[in-house]
Amino acid sequence: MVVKELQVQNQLGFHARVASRITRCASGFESLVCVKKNGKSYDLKSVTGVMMANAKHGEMVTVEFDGADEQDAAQAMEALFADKFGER
Amino acid sequence: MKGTVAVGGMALSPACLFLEGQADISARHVEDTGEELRRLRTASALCAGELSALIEELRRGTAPDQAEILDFQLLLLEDDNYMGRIAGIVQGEGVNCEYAVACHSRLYREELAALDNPYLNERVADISDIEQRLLRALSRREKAAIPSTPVIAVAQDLTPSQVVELGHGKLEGIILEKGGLSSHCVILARSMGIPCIIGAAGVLARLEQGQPVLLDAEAGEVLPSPDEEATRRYRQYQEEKQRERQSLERFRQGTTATADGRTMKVYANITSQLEVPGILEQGGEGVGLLRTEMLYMERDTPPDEETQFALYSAIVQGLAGRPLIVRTLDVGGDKSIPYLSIPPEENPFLGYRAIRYCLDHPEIFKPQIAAILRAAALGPVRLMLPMVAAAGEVERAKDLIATVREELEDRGAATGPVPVGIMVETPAAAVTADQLAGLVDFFSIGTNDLTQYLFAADRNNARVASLNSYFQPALLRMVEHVCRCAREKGIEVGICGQAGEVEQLIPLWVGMGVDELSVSIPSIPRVRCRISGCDTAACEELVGRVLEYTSEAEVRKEVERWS
Repeated sequence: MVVKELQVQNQLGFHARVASRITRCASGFESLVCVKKNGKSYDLKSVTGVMMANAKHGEMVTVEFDGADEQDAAQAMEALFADKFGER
Repeated sequence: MKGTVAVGGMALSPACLFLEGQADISARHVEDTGEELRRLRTASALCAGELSALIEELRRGTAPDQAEILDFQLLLLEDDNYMGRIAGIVQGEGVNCEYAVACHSRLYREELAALDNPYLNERVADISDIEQRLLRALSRREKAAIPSTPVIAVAQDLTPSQVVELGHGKLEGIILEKGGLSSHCVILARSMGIPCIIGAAGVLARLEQGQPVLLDAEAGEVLPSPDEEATRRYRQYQEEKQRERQSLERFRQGTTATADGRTMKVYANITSQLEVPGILEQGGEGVGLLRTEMLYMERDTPPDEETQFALYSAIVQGLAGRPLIVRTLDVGGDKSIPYLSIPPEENPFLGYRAIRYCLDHPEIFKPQIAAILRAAALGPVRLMLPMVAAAGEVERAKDLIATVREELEDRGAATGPVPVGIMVETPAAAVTADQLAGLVDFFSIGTNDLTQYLFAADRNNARVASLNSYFQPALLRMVEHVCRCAREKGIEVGICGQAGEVEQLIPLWVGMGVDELSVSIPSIPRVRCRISGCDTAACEELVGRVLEYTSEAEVRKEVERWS
């Protein structure tokens, strides 16, 4: 399993458009991709999961990747966060 | 009231209005939850199709941001927490889909509204949107009562199954407020010979249930409660049609031969297995062109091998020994399929389409080839490659076909022999027909595309329509060249474009040695009748003369005089 601490850098945090991008990205991999927050686990392959994770601007989130392609998945998700999900 | 003619003809019958009602979201107990879940899946697939099409449109236009919002809704349809729980409610509580959709959507909106994030709070609007979309889809799939006497169907749009269910005896005509010329419903109406007009906005509001209506799908007009004069015009039209039908009766069966006894074939162009009964009724000798694009449309993932095999084998069995020519996926051009993610192009007709796309995407192409090879175990099947422009494409496709065959044999799947041919629809293929003929088992000339590519004239542009004509000497020379190359190499050549059923041109096709004409189903008897009146030697002479002309007008005059 790979665990990453990633910062939400875009102004609006997780919202619908970002949720679509995260879900499309996570679904491209076999591995489980989850956000751990307040003792709960949110599935990033589900748009509703991303929404409920409700991460805001500046927040650090713990993302877990577990599966055969966990390294690639982690790399892709890290890049997506670093790119501010393609927003400002 | 006016509309666009989709299928010509006339009809006079009571109007049968298909109104989309407001969905009833109250809880109702259902016995068969399996059937209810199937309804839910169908509605979900329908919504996904609509959304994908909208997204594609927005991405191409100026609103890519909005495309992503809709993509969010598309993802909701696949989401365990949304669709998954709705299905759970249906299953667990034994209730109707409408209730489950409304109930869970409300719950989820409340959850979202409770989050301390205004951006997420606003997303309740998306939940309402997808909820309404699902409810609409559910009500659309409700079967309308099937009338017991002949009617003219009036609707926003009809599903192909509605057209088939209403069927020949009862469906006299179709009037649609929406609809597209290449929609499934229209294609079916055409193959069943049911007069149809589309784009008749506001017609539902202006007709009463059961009101007599005259559908004039020659002039593109809808006349509610027609007067005596209009009714007389209709009767006259019907009598003429009736006489024509009777004179063609004997050409609705048997084989096809010219006056001097040369055998030819009349095949049908189709898009779905729903059309097979029509072929048999009109005396078609096989399918010369099965367009497979429809199979890929209105869905959000490519159809897998089994789905395709089911379609092809159903058609092969329906044809009972008559040959079936399957054209492999002709995507691109004016036919876009969102999930194949072909980027928007400035010039899609000259772009990344058909064989060009398929050769680069074996994950899409191989399941189709496999399904075709397997269907061939059940009856005569041929495979036809669209948009070929170079010999290399044929060689690569044949290699891929050989690979797929080996894979199937390893799997132990039954296959049959499958001759491989090409559509000759690019001038490049026509010019090199002598070389291509050595590589393939048959040619089928696609005159629609060939004409517009040859003259560099868009067939939908009225200003260049006179260039884009099947009577142009340049086109006829090109077709004659292709036929000659096929004859010299001893392979079959057919025509599957519209030119194949233009009556005045049929003597030319006979004279050029065309082996088969693949035409729309209602035209089959007419084409066979015309062939039977042709003498090969006289037709060959006619071809010789016509190829020397320099203008379309001269060709037209000659073939019309000859008729």
